[in-house]
Amino acid sequence: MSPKRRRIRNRIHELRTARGISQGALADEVGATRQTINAIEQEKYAPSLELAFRIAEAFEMSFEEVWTFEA
Amino acid sequence: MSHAERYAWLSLIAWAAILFFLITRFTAGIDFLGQSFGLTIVEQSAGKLLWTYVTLAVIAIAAESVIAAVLAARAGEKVDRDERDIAIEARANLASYWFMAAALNVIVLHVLLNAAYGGHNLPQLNLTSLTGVAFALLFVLAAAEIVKRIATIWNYRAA
Repeated sequence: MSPKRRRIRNRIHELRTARGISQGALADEVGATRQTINAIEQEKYAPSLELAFRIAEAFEMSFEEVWTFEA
Repeated sequence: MSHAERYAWLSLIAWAAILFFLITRFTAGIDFLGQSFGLTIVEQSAGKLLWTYVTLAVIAIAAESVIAAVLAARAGEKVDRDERDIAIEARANLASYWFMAAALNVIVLHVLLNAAYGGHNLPQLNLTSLTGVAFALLFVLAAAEIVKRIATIWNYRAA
């Protein structure tokens, strides 16, 4: 039996707007393109573990505070 | 629109033009924009086929180089390619591979079935001639590049 499908959720949009950071600025900080940050925010693209950690680091937060794995 | 997506669009236009050029060089039947193209393959000498191949290769390399250089100049210092672009390119390469595998299988089956059960009036690809073989292979190569660009654009729109 295959495991139940779960989604990777994130708080990037919420955290970014609260800090007044643009998608482009965040992208430059983590070494990605603005389009990739947009796709991650819209949960159309699940980033690699490395990029996910770099994004959490950019917000100076732990991984779990930015990313969750929901049913 | 990202750098890589813009590249895919421009490259798609270039490869569509290359495919059109290929068809006009190898076939005849319908006159359009001063060129003749259609379903009938026009037999050509080996020298002319080689010249066509070299011309196509030069056009393809030049077009890709110019597009890459122009977009790189526009991008400047910014990150123009990241892990998502690489993942999308991998998916597009896979789509292109499956298209090429399917097309080559169709060609092989067409030739074998034609030889075994010939005598019908359906359009036939004559792979007993040098021109037919060259056209079929170059057509599949150019079409596979177009499939790759379409798959790239599709993936950018979807993800």
